[in-house]
Parts: sequence; C-alpha cells; structure tokens
Amino acid sequence: MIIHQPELTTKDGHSILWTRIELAKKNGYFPKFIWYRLPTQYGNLFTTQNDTFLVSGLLAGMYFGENIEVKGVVSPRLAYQLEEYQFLLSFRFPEFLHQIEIKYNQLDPLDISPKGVGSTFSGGVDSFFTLWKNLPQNQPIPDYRITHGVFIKGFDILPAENQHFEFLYEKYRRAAAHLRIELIPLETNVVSITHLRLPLADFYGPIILSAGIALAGGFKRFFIPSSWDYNKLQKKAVASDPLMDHLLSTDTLDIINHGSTHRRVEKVQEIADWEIAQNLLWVCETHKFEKDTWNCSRCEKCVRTMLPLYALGKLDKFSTFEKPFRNNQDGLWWARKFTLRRDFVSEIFPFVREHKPDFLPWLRLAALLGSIRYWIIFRLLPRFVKKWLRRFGYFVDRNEAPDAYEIPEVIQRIQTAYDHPPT
Amino acid sequence: MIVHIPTMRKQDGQVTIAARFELRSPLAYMPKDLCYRFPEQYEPNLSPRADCFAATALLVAMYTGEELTIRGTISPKLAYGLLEYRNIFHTWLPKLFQMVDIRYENVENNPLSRSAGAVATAFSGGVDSFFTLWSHLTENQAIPDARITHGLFIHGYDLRLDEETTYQAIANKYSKLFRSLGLDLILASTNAYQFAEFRIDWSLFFGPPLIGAALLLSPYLRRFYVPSGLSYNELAPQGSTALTDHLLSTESLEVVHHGASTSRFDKIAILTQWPVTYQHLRVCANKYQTDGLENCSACHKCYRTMAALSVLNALPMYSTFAAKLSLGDYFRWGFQTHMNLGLARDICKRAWKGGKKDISMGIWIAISINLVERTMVKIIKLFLPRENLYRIKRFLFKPESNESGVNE
Repeated sequence: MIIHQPELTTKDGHSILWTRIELAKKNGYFPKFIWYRLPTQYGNLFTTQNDTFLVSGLLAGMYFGENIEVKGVVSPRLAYQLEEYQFLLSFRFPEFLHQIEIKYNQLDPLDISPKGVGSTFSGGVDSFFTLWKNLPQNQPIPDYRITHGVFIKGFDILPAENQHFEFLYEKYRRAAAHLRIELIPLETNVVSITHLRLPLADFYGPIILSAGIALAGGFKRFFIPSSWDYNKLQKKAVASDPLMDHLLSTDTLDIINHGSTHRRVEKVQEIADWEIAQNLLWVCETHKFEKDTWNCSRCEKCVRTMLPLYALGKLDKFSTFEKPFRNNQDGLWWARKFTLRRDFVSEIFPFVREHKPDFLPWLRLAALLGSIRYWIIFRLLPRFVKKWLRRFGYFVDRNEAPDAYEIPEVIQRIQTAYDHPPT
Repeated sequence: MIVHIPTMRKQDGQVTIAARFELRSPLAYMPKDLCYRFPEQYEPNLSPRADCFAATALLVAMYTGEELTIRGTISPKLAYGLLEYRNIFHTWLPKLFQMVDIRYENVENNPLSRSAGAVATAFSGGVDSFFTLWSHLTENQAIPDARITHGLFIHGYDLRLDEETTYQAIANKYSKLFRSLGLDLILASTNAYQFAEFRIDWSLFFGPPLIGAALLLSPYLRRFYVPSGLSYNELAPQGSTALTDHLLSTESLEVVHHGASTSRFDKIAILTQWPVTYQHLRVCANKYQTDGLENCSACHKCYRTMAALSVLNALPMYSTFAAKLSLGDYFRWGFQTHMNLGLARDICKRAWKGGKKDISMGIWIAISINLVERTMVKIIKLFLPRENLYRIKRFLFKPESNESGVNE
C-alpha cells in the first residue's frame, strides 16, 4: 500500500487536504481520495506532513495485511511509536488487524511551534465534560486550556445530514464564541477507509485523531474525550484509550485522551449545572431534530443520560430532551432499548441508589423487562424475520451505503486538481 | 506537604541536589530531603527546577493524605501530567493513595528545545534493561532519533546505599561495557527508597524517582527510556507502566516506556543471542548477598530468570548464575512473597510446551506453595493497622532509613 504525498487545494471558500492511498489489491469499495475540508479561513491549520494520512491509512494497511510505503515527510516520534501502537491494535483485535512493515521516505519533525489547544467536540457528555474541565475556571494550567473545538461532519453526522450539521454547528459556534473558543467545522471522508469493515464504535480513535493531526499547523495539544473510564478499560478493548492515544503524538503535537478518571454518570453530574450543557447537550442516536429538542429521549443513549440527570433532580433544566422523565414510572422506558453490551448498567444503579433510592425499584423492573426484550430480539429472533422487519425501518443503519461518507462535490474538485496539478 | 525549592551543593567530586519534603504530620524514619547525587562533571547539565522531585513527592503526599504544594518551578506539561498521574494511582489503589490537591507556585515552560540532546535509558543490568538497550542500538533501531546514546545507572535502587564497594564494582564493569558499545553510562545515587521503605511497596513507587533522575538531567537529555517490567497482557498497578510513565514527560524531555509488547520470556530468548549478556546479566533482588555482578541465585528474580534460561538451554552460558536449579530451589521460590505469578505461569507453560516437564513441574510446585502463602499473608495483614505493620517490618528486616530522618 502506498500513501502518497498530501496535497492542499483551496477553492470556493474551502481548503481541502487530500491524498491518494493506493492498495496493492482492491477489495470492495475503497475511496480513491482521502480528504479533510475546512473553510478557507482555517486553511493555515493544515500541514502537508504525511502524519495525518499515515494514521488514517494505518488501519487499512493492518486490515488488508499490506505493508505501507509513506511518501513525503513523517514525524520521527510518530514513526517510532507506531510500532507500539500497531502491536496494541493487533494484540487487542487479532481477528481484524495484523502488524505490518512501514517504509518511510523521510523522517523530520515539523519546523513550527503551534500555540493552540484543540479538542474534538460532538456535543455529547464526554465532549462537554472535557471542554468544561479545560476551561480557564477549571483548568489551572494555562497551557492546557482549550482554545479550539473541532466539530466533525463525516463521523457522528453523515454528509447527507448537512442540515443537522449546520443547525448544530451554528448553535455550538455561538456558545463556543461566548467561551472565547473557536469552533472549527471539519468535513472528512476518512471513515470510508474502515466503513463496513471495522466497527466504528471500536475503531473511532485513530480516525478522529487523524483529524486532529491534520490540524497540526495550529495545535500543540489535541484532546480526545474518553468514552470509557479506567475501571471499564480493564475489561474492554477499544482503539482509543489513555494507553494508546498518546502514541499518535508527533514532535509538535501532543495527543491527550481525557476523562477516563470519571465514569459517565460522574461526567453527567459534573456538567449538570452548566447552563451551556443544559441548553445544547446532544447525545441522541436517532438524529431526529425537532425544533429545539433534538434528543429523542427514547434511544439507549438518551435514556442512559437522562437517568443520572433525573436522579440528581436536574433533568428538567436540560431543555434538549423531547420527553423528559416526569416521574419514577417513566424510568421503565429504559426497558425499550435496554442493553448490557455497553456496560453502563453497573454504574447507573449505584449512582441512583446514592441520589434517588426510591427510583431504584422502577429501574430494576426496567432492567428485568429490558433483558427479556434484549434476549428475545437479539438471541431468539431468526435472521429472516430481522430481514423482513427492515422494510418497516427496523434493523436499518443510517450509513449502510458503502459511500455514505463521501461528498461527490469534493471528490470532483480533488479529481480536477489531481488531473491538472499546478505547474 | 510542601516541596521546597531544590538546593545544590558540591562535595568530594560529587554534586548533590536535594529538596526538602515538609510534612504537616511527619512520619517516623522518613527522610526530610529527597537527594540525588551525580559526578561533578554533570553539574552544568543538572536542572535546578522542581520537576524531578514533584512526582515522587506526589506519591508520598497521596500516601499521607496531605495536600501537595510545589514551591519550585515546574513544567506545564508535567504539572498537567501529574494531575492525571494522581487520578490513575487513586483509581488503582484508593486506600493506599488518597486523592489530594496539588498546588503549583510556579508553572513555567522549560526554554530548552527537544531537538538536541542525548537519548538515555535506565539501566540496572537486568533483563528489561538489556532488552531496551539492545533494541535501541544502531544495528537494531532504524529510526536514528530513537537510538540510545547514554545509560543511567542509579545507586539506591536494587543496591543499598551503604553497599558502596559492591556498587562501585558493578558500576565499573557496566561503564566499561557501555564504552565498548560506544555509549556513556551516567552514574547517580538517590535516597528515594527510604521514602517508601516498609510503607509503600517498592514496585509501586520506583517509577517517579527513576524518571526524576532523568528529569534532573533534562538540560542534557531529550528522551529517556524506562524499560518495562510488565507486558501488555499482564498490566497491573505498578510504579512504572505504559499508562503512566509518559505523563511524567516535560516539554524538553520525553519519557518512553519501552518493552511492554514483548514478554519477559521472549526478551530473555533474544538476549541469549547477545553474548554481551553472558557475563553481565544481573537480575538479583537480594540486597544483602550481592557480590559484584554475581546473582544470589536464590531470590525470586534469580529463580525466574534461571528457569527461563534453563528452558532455553542457555543457563550454562551465563557465568553470573548458579549452574542449575534444584528441587529445593523450586520450594524456596514458592515461599518468596514477591514471586510474580503471571511470569511463573508463562515460563511453566513454555517449559511444558518445550518438553521440559521437570522444570514445568518444579514451577507448578512453586506456584502452588506461593498461592497458599499469599492467602495467609493477606489474612494477617487484615488485622494489622498500617503503622503497626510498618514497625513490624522494621523489626524483622534491616531498615535503610534511620531514626533522625536525615540521610547522608
């Protein structure tokens, strides 16, 4: 596999950082170009150092078992640490990924001293928590205060959901400006590399981080909010945690996985009184944007966020939930999408016991009913029934198309630049 | 607890840098100052900052439950890393390491650039040290920036400070070895062990003082390798892990935990192909019976290394160990409280697979004895308060720290 030298194309108010990843063997849909796009005013954050595409292309190389040749310049620190990073990936996911050789054309650090501190921001609990903890009033070390957020289209939000993206971006941008933080809208098709091959829930780490590394021209540190706490990480294997993420640091950019010291319920508690989070929290998996309430309140993620808020007596302050719990019986909605797979149950019960014990019997009943439902649907229901139910919208994912993360207009622009390189 | 601004003094060709640890409620026998000593030639390369004392002080503060105040200058990166470091240790062992506040009086970037400077590794002469050294020699490390130029050998770790003669003998041999490899060995000593003695298991404490020594040399070093004692599939709370070590990096010194992707058995297998180790491998944990590079061949570390070498048919090549393991050795190994069960099981499995059934059975006996012993020790500990346990240990074993709390 060859990762070509990245190119920067600026046109019609956008800067696009792109490259070609050439596979030795074609296997299913694989994007011709990998790209990241920003409004031109942020274009100076891009660098053409090939760290970005090496990090994003690494998963493809390891998945297909192809050795990588990287054109252009790579950070020596990143190159050194990728060996360890590869080991951890192949150790944790031996069924998917294999260690490969990487051949570098040139190893040199970037000759810049960026000043910014960035963080990915999706509007969820983890993002808000990381932002909250690294605001000037909470972060005593000035060097670690967040100066920029990066809001990504092509990850949680698909390119086809542009309206939702614009809707949320505008709200978040205004709130960020109030905090003196610049929110950068970044579009990318990098998920296409692993789409339908590797589960995004496990492999989001290098994908998100490649976006941060792409902006190395402006950032000296980049936070990735942690999804799991240290206790859970002892039992879970994901491709993003405090053990792994820092290995993607370069000579000029430190990657920091933030928030593993707190359980999700504790993060919810930390941000429960923050007005900005109360007005803007977005955790919903269903992506139904109704007026100002864009959390459906019935999906698993919504319910798992509402439970601790209700136990704290703060749920009514969170205006973005469409149908907040009004009484203890409403906790039974948990049964509707209950799952043991994500392991948040073990933290929710002790938390509710501590803060609202009279809510506990309803949660126990919900967990019992939910477990029965889960067992019937995921263990007993035959595959053909699931297939039949798809025509009614069940068991359907939003991103099933192989090119769900592509934007034809961007591809066309890159193709033109590729066909007619600047002389 | 207050960590005062470090002071430096020269005496007898040595330079000592020390910082006073002022506890609100002083603990008996705990030294008042954390000291590091280097040969005088390194004086221009020693940092006057508080970086090197902060992490060690943090663990002491967490043990005592006192808020930590750092008076000297500390790097922003380290200041941030210490907060996470504290959180991890508290999450691991909340009773031993309490959550404490950290107050920095002067957070300031180290103006030194990382682009220049030496690359060092901690070196004790053990399996992990030799493996890290071997991995970063020019012939084995493709990335020039990552190649080792120096070793750092610290007195006061596995060798007691009062064992000066043994230390000098070992230091001379290793200095010669490094010179033959075209590298330099930096010699240093510290009294850090006395802060943990009988109170905090040394395996939980040794990381920060070790990295601290490198931080002292940060005007000279840009990267410091800490050889890993545990592989990724046996990660457990320890004073040095892949999860925590990098948090003690500063803007000018990058700390890299190396070797967790290779099991101890595989490291030993690689080292058996490197003849340099035949006369130099020193793994011994017995502070009282060391004699130069000779290993006691009777402590848990010697036993596990000898067992692995036996499985690889390499034990006779190593002149620093006894020629073979007897049945009595396996029994004695089992009775040693520090036996690493994971490593023993790994060697046992490999011995069985390699057709060395006698070694495998011997290790199995040692493991069984050790499991019984561990359970009994755990039960006894349940009935003893922390300070009483400390006094019993002082009575049973030969302590290094003295009553005055002043170390010379």
